[in-house]
Amino acid sequence: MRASTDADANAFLQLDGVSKAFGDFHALVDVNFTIAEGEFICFLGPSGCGKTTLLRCIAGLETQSEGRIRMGGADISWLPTSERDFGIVFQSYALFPNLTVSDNVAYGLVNKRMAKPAIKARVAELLSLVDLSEHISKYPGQLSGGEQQRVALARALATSPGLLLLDEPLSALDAKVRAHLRREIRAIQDRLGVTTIMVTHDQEEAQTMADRIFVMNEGRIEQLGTPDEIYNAPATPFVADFIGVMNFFTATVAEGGGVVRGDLTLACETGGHGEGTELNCAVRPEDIRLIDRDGDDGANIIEATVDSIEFLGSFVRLYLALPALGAGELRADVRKEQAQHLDIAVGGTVRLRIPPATIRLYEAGPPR
Amino acid sequence: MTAVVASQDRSPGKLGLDRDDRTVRWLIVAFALFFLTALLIPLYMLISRSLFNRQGDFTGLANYREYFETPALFQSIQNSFTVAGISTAIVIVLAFAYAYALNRTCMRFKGFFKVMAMVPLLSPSLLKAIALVYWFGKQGVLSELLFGHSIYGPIGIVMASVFWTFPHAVLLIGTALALSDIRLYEAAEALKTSHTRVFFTITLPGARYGIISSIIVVFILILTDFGVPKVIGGNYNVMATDIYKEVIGQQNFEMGAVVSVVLLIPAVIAFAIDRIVTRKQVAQLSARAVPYAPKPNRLLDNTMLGYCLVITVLTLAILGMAQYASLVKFWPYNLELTLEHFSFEIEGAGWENFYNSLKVAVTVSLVGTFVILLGAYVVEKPRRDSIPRQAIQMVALMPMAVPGLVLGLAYLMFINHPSNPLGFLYGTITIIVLSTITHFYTVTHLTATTALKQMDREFEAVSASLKVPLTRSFWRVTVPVCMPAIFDISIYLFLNSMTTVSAVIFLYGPGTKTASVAAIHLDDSGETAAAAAMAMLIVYACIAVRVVHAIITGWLLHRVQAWRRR
Repeated sequence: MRASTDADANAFLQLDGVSKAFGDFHALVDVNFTIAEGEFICFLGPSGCGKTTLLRCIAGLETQSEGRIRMGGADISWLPTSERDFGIVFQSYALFPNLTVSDNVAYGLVNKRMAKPAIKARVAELLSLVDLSEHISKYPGQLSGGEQQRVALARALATSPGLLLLDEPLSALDAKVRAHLRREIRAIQDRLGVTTIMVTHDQEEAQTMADRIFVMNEGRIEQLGTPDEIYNAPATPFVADFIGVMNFFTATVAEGGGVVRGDLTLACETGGHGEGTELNCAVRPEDIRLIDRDGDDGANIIEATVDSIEFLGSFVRLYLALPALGAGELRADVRKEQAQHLDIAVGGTVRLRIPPATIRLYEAGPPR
Repeated sequence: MTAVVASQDRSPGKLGLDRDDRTVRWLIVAFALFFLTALLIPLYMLISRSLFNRQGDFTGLANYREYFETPALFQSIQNSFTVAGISTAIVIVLAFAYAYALNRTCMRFKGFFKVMAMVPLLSPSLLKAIALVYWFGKQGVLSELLFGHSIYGPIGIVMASVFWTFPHAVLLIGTALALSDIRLYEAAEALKTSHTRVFFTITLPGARYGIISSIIVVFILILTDFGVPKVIGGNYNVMATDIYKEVIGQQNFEMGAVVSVVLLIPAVIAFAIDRIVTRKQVAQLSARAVPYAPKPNRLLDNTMLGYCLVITVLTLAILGMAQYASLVKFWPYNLELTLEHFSFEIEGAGWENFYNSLKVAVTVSLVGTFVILLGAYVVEKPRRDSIPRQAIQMVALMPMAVPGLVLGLAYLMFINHPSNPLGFLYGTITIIVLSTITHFYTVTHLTATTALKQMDREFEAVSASLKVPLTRSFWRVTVPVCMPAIFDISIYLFLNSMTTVSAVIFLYGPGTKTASVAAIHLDDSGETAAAAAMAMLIVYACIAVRVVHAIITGWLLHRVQAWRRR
């Protein structure tokens, strides 16, 4: 379905029906969205989902096979890269190794016929923005990965572009540097208010940085929403599975509500699905509550055998066997203290409760 | 934003062209014209000429029939393949051991031996032939060692060929031996594998592509070489000398063209195999491999040291004998030393030949390096894929399969064609420079492409997003980053321009004869000492330029390009 090609007055960036095919391979399929000025957007998805291709289409580094791209009200669909208004940062930094930090940052400024003192002042301003003022005359090879990426960011921002594109900027860095740079990039973006699109396959990165996340799969946008919406109300099984950890099992809608599978009956909101419909049920491990052997008698109380235990720091993950689901099919996360308190051991039985509100139902079919 | 508004009515389906795209488009046109003029049209004329008779009537394959029915000519094919085959077998074994010593042992003085292996590159192939005549000729120092056989003929060709192709084989095999994952050897050791088995199951298979590649390259170098069989071949005819005799001796261009095409075929086949093999070798080693570091082994290290010493002594014996030959008054009757052979008081030879060589070599080295880098850039860097660009890449690989003598003859026919407006270039330095750049295009093009491939793929995207024109990025970033490769290309072109004979021998004019061609002519007319002197001038120039080059490279890379130091 092709969306309307009318320009949305409030949109800074608008894509209408953008598709991209490489021969028989469909890298992008009918992508539509609008982005408001100043937003921080993440394209999130597994490798090969089309997120980088989408970014490159916006940059003009790839040409869409179909569809339109508008920016600031103007149609830029067929503009060459050099005539579009954006700055870009790549995973590989792509810093010019033979130029100093300051020459790298000034690279785009020199071309704007700015006076030398003005360039110098702008470079100093940008380097203090990314906290690298003391490295101004070093070469990229003398800097750490994180520092190099900050130089690349300063270089991309130097010409004050309307749009900042970040192509997996943190993927090549150590975990600690990555966490630090996340906050730093987001702070800079807040300060400058520049509309930003970041491509990443790291859901934690997307969740901590983005205003809105566009979850992509097989060339399509599966869901666009705030980090909270994406996590708590995943629109499709793919999103539910890709973001965080999720238990999936199929069941049919029971007589008088709830779902049933074998001897297991679970109460939950079945929406408009008719009795006997096969559905995909999804429950997050942290939503499953372990209760004392003589605990309360709410809905959805089940007994299960512990197959194995995984120690994950502040909590443990139990792999549970239920007659209706099979061995190790159900995962439940339990805080460390509670696990000790309940004296959980491999081979033992546990009592657990799945709150009806935490069960999400999707049309049957395995998650893509 | 004016540009954005202006673009609104651009026709959909294709990205608009910016300044950079137009620059690239012009460059593609320029390179298409370059290759048409410098390679494709001349080759076409050569091949078509082989299908016509002397009167200019189309006779189809009649010339080829005549060629294969002439026993003397047909015999040359067998001769060519025989000497090339034997020489290749010898050179590969010798070079493998040498390269193994350099890359896989803890032998001492590796740096010295690395340099010594490359010494033969500094002289024309005919110099080795002349030196061998002094060692093993009728009045040679060690003639008895041949047990009555003459050095003139297959023995001489094989010996001289082994000497001059040795550095090429060492380089190619060395590259293959240097690329090896130590973890394979550690795994073998953990499994208690014997040394012999390790050698045959890991070392040899690991280097097999390099070995195959060097077999092909060396075989083709010898098969198409002209200088050596001309000087030391005697009555033993090979295809390369046949071309020369048909064209220069009998003015039979048609038969020259036929022999050229027959020589071109194995070269093209071999080259195609080499490309396939080379591609496999690149894919063989993963980026995560841990490079091999040899462990000391006294017996092996000392044996190899002895072996390399012997090779080095032989190499120096050749060069030394050529030097001695150029200084001896009248071999072997008057052994007084004199510089008179360097005065070249002989018809058709003189110092101007040497100056011509320098002129050619310097021009080829400067112009050629720039052209080749630009060509590689056009092929490698623009973001948009286009068929013309891929076509340029394909054509750039072709010169390697074209023997120099064949290229020279093709040029001769091209430039002498009555309707060619470029006819005035005949016999000029320009045509010699053009043919030499074309002749050595492929190897240097591959060096340049490799260097460009190692640069970040996104430099051009970043430059475009910053609105910096391609031309500026090229000078500001590409050229400085590729400086080591640029130096390699320029010295390669210089040395080869100084020593090459094959293409030039058909193209020089009055006043533009080069030193290497003059040396052939001097030798031809019995002035062997003067020929040695002329060849030694080339050696001196090559050594001098090599040293200056090393100094400048070192200075530039360590002082000016401080960014390379971490």
